[in-house]
Amino acid sequence: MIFGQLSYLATVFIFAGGAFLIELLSQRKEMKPYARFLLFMCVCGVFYTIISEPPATSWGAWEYNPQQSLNIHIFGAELETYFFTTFVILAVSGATMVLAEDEERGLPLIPTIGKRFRRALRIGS
Amino acid sequence: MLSYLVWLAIYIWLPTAILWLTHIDLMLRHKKTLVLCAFFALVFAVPWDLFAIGGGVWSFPQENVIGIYVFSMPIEEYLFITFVTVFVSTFTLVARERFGKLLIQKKVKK
Repeated sequence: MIFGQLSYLATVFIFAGGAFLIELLSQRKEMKPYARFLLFMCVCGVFYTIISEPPATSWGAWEYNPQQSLNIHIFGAELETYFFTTFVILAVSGATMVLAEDEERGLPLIPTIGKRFRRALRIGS
Repeated sequence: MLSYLVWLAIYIWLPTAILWLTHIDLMLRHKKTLVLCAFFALVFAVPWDLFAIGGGVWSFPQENVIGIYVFSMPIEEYLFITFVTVFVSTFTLVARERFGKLLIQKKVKK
């Protein structure tokens, strides 16, 4: 891959970071009250990474190419994996919070998501 | 041989099942949220995974997966994407229920 040792990090920022960015652009008003909650969820995610990632790699469930990662290990997990966890938690927890509130208010979820996404595209244009 | 499935069972399915069993009403109230989150996770994560696998960023040793591949990705990875999302969403809903008052900023009506 063209990014060499930054490849793992690059894919995390492009895909997971990109997903969270799209969500933030389309739902930032709805997500603003959840900032502290999402920070709490990220901290929980980091702890869970410390618990769950080392067994996965030591059992051989998956493996990382040392030529495409930074090879910096913290508590047995690759540094990039912590970024992975953080962006995934932000994206999934953020979406869950907004959708859960919509569901409780009886809003139709897919049209509401569509409306927010179109609003985000208008903001970006 | 089934390392990936064993990992999923211990670190994802088991905690998800515990949270579901102890908060079944909460989960059933938000089933659409859970399904949609899993769907969007697959939409974003499958291309990412295929890109990373194709680029050699990560891989799955053949001796530790079942051996069923869909678009050159082991089936366990699809299970990972789906059930990690469900686990995170489930944990989010439970945390929201228990700590929401402390951590969520109240919306001020202008």
